[in-house]
Amino acid sequence: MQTLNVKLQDLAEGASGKIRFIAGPPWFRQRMYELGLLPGVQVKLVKRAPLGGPIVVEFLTQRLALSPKEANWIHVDVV
Amino acid sequence: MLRVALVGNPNSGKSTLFTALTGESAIVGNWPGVTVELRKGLCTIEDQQCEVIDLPGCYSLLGTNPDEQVAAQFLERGDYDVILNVVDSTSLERSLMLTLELTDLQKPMVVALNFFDELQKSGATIDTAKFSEILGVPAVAVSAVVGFNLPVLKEALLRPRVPNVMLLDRTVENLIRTSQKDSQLTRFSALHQIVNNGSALDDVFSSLDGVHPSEHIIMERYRKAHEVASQVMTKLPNKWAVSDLLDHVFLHPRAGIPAFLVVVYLVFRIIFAIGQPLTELAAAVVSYAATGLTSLLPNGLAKNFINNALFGGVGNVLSFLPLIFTMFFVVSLLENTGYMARASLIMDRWLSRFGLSGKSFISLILGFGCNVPAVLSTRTIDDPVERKVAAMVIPLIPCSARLPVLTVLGAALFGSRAITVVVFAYVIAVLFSLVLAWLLRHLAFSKVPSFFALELPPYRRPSLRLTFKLAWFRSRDFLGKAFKVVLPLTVVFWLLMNLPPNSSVENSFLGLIGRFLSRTLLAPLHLNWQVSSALVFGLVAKEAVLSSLGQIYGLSGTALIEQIGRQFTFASGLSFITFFVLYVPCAATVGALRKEVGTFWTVVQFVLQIAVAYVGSLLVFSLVSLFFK
Ligand SMILES: Nc1nc2c(ncn2[C@@H]2O[C@H](COP(=O)(O)OP(=O)(O)OP(=O)(O)O)[C@@H](O)[C@H]2O)c(=O)[nH]1
Ligand SMILES: [Mg+2]
Repeated sequence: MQTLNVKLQDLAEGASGKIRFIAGPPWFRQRMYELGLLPGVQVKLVKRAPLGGPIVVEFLTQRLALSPKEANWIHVDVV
Repeated sequence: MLRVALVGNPNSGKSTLFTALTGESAIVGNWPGVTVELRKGLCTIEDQQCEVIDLPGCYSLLGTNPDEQVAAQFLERGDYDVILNVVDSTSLERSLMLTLELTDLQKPMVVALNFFDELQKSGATIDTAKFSEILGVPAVAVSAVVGFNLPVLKEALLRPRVPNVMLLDRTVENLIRTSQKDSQLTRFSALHQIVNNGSALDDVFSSLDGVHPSEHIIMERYRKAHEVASQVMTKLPNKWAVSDLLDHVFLHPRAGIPAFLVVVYLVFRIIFAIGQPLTELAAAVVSYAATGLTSLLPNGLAKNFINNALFGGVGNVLSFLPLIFTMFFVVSLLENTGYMARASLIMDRWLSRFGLSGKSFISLILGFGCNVPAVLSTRTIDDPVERKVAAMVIPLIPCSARLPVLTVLGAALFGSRAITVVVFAYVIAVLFSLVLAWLLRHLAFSKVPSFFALELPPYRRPSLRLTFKLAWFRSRDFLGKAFKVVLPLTVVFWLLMNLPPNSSVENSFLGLIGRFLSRTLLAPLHLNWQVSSALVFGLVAKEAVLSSLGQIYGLSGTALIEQIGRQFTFASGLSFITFFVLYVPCAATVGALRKEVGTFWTVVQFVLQIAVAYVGSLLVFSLVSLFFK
């Protein structure tokens, strides 16, 4: 399995990764940065909602729900 | 007077603290984005009068959502003496990013480390003395819900300090100095300017390896926040153990959706199982009082007024207070456990087909209480197009003011199974609001994909005392409206019904209006003139339809229900219910809508909603007459 530069959406449930970079439009990056989802921060994919819904990720002891499209903009290195 | 501004991340407990300090009512809920407007209250600390200002939560002062801008603009205007930064101490690192941004304002400040009860339970601690030393401001560990350390916090508010300047890296500091030299700016405004004009400064860009200055500044702040947090915090709190267990069910791939449906069902059952009998009791009390009082009065205009306008009108509406209260109680309970955020997550994918996201779900749910705060709550929706669409479909959601009318109509048509009609009305309303959302999203606005990111709070055990209070705050609006809006309307209705003097009701001004409407606009719906004239008053407030019906038939309670039952056939009854649920937003909602989406879209919304109601009720009429001959 490729461990570098994986999309957050493709992480397995329970797996962790370090943010490599965040793509997508500037307003999205800004929002994620404000929430503390920054390059270098470790995130864990906690849960996938039913029927391909949003995913729940944990970082800095907080949890965030993200819809799949946005989760595809976030690139991580699996750790 | 000392003016204290509560600033902090969403869901950090600002409104809870506000209520604890001032005793004023403020809505709290365990999900981010509850407060969207300024709210002020008073408190006294050691004989000193203080004004406390509750602000909407924000992650940064540069946020672009309208709710965040309310907070940012307030802080920039500077109409305050002390910033009380409310921090969720179980998410210290993230919270500190805003705290650091606040230090740039260089205003007197105090930090409240809230959720200390949860922090202690999770096994972590924060060295408040050290924290206070690093930032240069008083820091107090508190728990707003439990009331822990509030006296200490109050005292600290009297001796706030201007925070230390928290230096960022050399590149940023150089930039700040350059722009300060050019134009005498404060540190905060200088940073603001760099962020806003960053793209114009090409040399800046290259010095940051192509990273946008605003992003660079955030990353620097995070580095600093991390540094501070690791100095004052011994170990990271583990706060997800209980939530994980619950989420295992509520967000389970297969069980999640059935669990959601069960919750919705239970909410309905509880509201009606408890609220309905209490409401019947209240109705009995009202009609008992009415007969008792009117038997003492001599016949005449005064008796007519008291009997009709007061008891038949306002009394009918007031008797529904228990039902409304129960509803708010159950919803507040749901909001404060944290399930609301989960439900929005579950509904996200489903709603995305209609051009909405899980965030709109919360606003729509609030709409079942009252459309006005629901429309305002759309401010927290990130996507501007979705924000508009959500605000425009909310008025279709049946608010608590429509519930009494629906219950009466339901009882009139179905007797003891009134709840079926209520559920039918709710389903119809939700269906049509989704259709309208789809239409707006795909036809009126360009097809921009929606966006969903929501911070998920841990589940929390709601305090019964606070839930009771919350339900009461919200019911109080219902009660207040019964006197401030419904009562005057009832008087107008009564006057129209009794003028010109000595005419029969049918030939009164009211009868004229009613007959005109039922022959023209409402003719296709087969509504009689009595009902048509009552509908006019629903333009101002929906409860007024019930009070008007009560007046026009001169009845209340079960007698009114029986009388209405005789006016409708099965098909025309259901079609009327559909029309009533959907027809127009009330005056207050129109006002809120204008504030959020502008006059043009408010007019569009109004016309669309009437059209939807028309089409909907015609559809119901023909379908029902087709199947139930
Ligand atoms: N255990 C515990 N719960 C708290 C504490 N303070 C607040 N809460 C709960 O946290 C939730 C959020 O509180 P709010 O006061 O609505 O938060 P807010 O900062 O006003 O949130 P927004 O208006 O969304 O920005 C509520 O369910 C409160 O009951 C605390 O000190 N301890
Ligand atoms: Mg609040």
